[in-house]
Amino acid sequence: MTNRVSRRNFLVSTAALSGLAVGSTALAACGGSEESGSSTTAAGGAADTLTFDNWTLYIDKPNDDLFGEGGTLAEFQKATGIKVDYTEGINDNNELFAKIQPLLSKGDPIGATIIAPTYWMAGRLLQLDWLDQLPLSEIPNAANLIQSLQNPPNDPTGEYSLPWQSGMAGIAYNQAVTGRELTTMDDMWDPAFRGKIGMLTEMRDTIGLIAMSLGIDLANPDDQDYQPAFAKLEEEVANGQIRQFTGNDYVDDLEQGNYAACIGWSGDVAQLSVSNPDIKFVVPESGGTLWFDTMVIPKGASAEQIQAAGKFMNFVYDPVNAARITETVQYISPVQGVQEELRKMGGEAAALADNPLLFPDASTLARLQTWGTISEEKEQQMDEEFARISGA
Amino acid sequence: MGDGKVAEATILLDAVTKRFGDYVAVEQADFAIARGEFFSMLGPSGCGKTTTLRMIAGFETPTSGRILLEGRDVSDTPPYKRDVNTVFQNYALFPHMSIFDNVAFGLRTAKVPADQVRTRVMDMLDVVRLPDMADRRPNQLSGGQQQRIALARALVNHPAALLLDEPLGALDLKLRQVMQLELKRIQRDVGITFIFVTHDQEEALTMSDRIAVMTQGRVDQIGTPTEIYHTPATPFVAGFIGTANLLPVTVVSQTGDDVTVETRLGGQCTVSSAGTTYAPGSEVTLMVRPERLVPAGAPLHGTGSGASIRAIVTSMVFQGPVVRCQVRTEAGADLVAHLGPEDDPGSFPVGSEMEMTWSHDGAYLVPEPIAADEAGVTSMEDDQTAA
Amino acid sequence: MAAATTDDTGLRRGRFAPYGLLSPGIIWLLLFFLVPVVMLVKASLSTKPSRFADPEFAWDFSNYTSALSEYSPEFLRSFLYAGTATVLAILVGYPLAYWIATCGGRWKNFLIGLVVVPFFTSYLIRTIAWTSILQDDGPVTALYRLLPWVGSDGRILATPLAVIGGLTYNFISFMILPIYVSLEKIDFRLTEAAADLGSTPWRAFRKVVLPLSMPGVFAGSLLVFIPAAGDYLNARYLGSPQTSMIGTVVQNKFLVQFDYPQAAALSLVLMVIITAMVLIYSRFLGTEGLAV
Repeated sequence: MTNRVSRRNFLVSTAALSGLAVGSTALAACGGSEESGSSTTAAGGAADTLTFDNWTLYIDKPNDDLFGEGGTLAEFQKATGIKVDYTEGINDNNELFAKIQPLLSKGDPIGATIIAPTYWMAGRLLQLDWLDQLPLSEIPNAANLIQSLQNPPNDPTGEYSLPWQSGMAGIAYNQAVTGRELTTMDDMWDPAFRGKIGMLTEMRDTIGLIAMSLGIDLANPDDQDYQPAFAKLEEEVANGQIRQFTGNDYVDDLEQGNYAACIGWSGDVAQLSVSNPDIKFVVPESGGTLWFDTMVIPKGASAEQIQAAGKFMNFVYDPVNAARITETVQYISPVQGVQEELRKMGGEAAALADNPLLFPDASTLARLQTWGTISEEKEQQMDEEFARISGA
Repeated sequence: MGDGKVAEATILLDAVTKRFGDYVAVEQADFAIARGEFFSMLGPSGCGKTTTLRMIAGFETPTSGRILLEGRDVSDTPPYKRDVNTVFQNYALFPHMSIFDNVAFGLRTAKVPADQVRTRVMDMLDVVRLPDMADRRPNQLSGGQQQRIALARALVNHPAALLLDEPLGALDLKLRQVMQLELKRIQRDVGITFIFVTHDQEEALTMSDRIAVMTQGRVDQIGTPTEIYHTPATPFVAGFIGTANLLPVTVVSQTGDDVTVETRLGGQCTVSSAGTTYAPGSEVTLMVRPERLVPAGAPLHGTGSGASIRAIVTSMVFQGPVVRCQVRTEAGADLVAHLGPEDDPGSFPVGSEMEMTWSHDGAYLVPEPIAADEAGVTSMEDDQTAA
Repeated sequence: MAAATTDDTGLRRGRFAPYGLLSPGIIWLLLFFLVPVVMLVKASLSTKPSRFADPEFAWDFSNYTSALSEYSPEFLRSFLYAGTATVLAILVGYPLAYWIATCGGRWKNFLIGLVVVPFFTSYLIRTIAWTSILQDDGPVTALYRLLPWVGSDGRILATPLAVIGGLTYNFISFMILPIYVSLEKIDFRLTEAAADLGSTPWRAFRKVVLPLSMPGVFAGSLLVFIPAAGDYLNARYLGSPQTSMIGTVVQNKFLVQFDYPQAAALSLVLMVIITAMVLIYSRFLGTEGLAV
């Protein structure tokens, strides 16, 4: 899921993706920083460095000025003396998994103390027993976690992960092309839009929305048969209704009018609609998916590093700090009290407090579903089926 | 040029001029080449001989003037429509084809039936005496063999004229001499007009029926080898063909066939006018070939008494059949004499003074003047054996 | 006796010296070609006890049978697209290389530099740039729709045309450069010779220049066809689900489904087919040409 990548940064991040072949180099670099981290620990006797590998453009003061004055990372260092070694190495959940799997399966540390997989990937890592428990004693602010994300299916006890940011998948459309408002998934299958409909390469979002439109529930996937959803998808691919499967590059297709509509992510549309009011986002009547990325601690970190990670999580779960991040990244914050903090900040930040894409209303929230944990076997089967239909 | 001449000429150049920008490569070339003739264009590099050949072949277009091939104006005809073929200096054999295919190239282009192609190619390979090489590739052949194949490839088309651009330049001396005779033999056998470009005067003299001597874009003289050697039209021709001792002289008087001239040192001698009328006082050039220059008292090579000149021996070099004797006159001109064994070269040690003399018909008047500092022996290739 | 022994060692040293000189190359080949291929073969014959476990070697040939039975459409499409792109690259690249080699004059190096300039930008960026150029509402598509057989709702993106065009564009430099090099080596006095022997310029080109430049065409074809056949980015960004190539499948098998054995088998099948095609092609064109 590359949805955290904002549109303006898309080219840069995909260029990094093309460096996929040298993934091992990146891995070596991670190992290097880990080594230096532990040696500091040994020498100083205190965890004064913490490594956090996150998605691109997913914190305030991104990219060029990560440690700028007044930014979260700088404030955190001021408050605790811990310097965060913050990297933007995650582009894709599966790519992340391919990178860390060989290390974690052998019990080797991966270098980063905190990583930010999407909830289902966090669930997979937990099932594989590759995660350490969070030091919840260090994180009293965890109590600020919003109700709807407490004890999610991927981490039922809530002891292994805390959400970082959250968002919705729904219908994104260009009203200049459609000429009308869209409200349901059936609108996507309107023959007038033949060859102008896009789907996400993210299986859970694409199949999730179609399944919900067919009345199939996502909460307990192992009890459900998603074959009708796959059949519907295959039908629309075969008849040419669906043009392409993309990552978040759908925003270009949408803006250029190649797409009339597609499945998209709320955060992208929130940013895109500022410059192009024709770009709209709607959670279809049958429902949309709610996803969230999590902070987890892969096994192999030292006790000091785990403690430092806890301090950092506590820091970003303070609504003041969380609001500062939300102001930049414009996703749904998992932290209670952010809306109030944004209002206090005034100006453009206060306007965000009333944006339904950041703070969906109750009726929208009621239509959102989050995927339950899919068993290994069923997930493989669904991935294969999805790959076959999407031409991958 | 008369129409009769046009009709019997294979090739006629009518006031042909070629300019490259400001540079005049060929100026007013105006001559005819007769059918079956072995015609050479001789001159130093840059004299315009190759450009003239390329205009005949069609690779260059004249800036002005006309080129007639078999009486037809071909000035603007592309090379592939001209009935001439060229043997290139570097042979330009097609490296990706067998020898057979190389020789057959022109015939196949002309859509000659395959069985005829085979016969004609094999016949031509016989003519150049390489019948067994048909299946080889050019890079498997020696330089001399490639040369013959290039010749065969051009001749097999029975062109109206064969153009040869310094074809022997890349061969060593021995092979070159063999190929000279070979070319002459082939030309006699096939009876095709040959136009041969060379800078090697000996080569031109050996093979040609007629030679055009060119310099700086102009044709200085056209004539048979004998004419060009014995009666050069300009000091350049005199010097370029063989070795010549040239002395600047002034005409004193002319009585019938006898012209009396005076050298810069005041000595006078009488020379044959060779049919030219000279005004008294005109500046001309006296030419004596080294083999006509002999020590005084030795038997003269020729008839009638000529004149003599005093000089100091500066070198004496044994060259097998002759001894090359170089002397310096009182006027400072270096002269060369070729002495035979009968001249007893041993009696003239270097530094000794000797008197050189020539017969009446051993000297020739070139009807153009020569600068004083150009006086003396001219030929840069005095020692042909070294070239 | 002693002398003989010395001679012997000298001879032996002489005999092994070439191998000594070659050893960096041999080590390189072993390390970066042979070892990976052996690992790939091993992976292709492995099975995974569970989805996220490491593959275990098991002489399991089922990956090969499924590679051929399930993905033959993708294989066929890959070779069709790559082949078409190669032919297009020859048709566009040859005249360009010919023009630069014969008319480039003192601009030759500059012009060849221009051919290479696109490489300063990332391959991916260049591919994505085409999505902007060819967008449905763009001028290129508008012109395309004027063609008589294209309807007013015709599009270029998400069609085989766009994928093949992208492949051609991305790899054409690899066609132009070797053709240019082989043309550059040709003595163009040979065309004079052909003209002298009665050949029109076209026949002189066909009989002399073209055959002599075939080594460049051959090398260029390999350099275009092989990466194009294994490419997935063009199909990913310029294509649709109906235009997916075998590279797309391999990428998905490796990175999304973690099915390393299947991905390895697909890669090896691709390698074997390409090698076979190259051998046939070189026989057809004459490998001798490569040495010229």
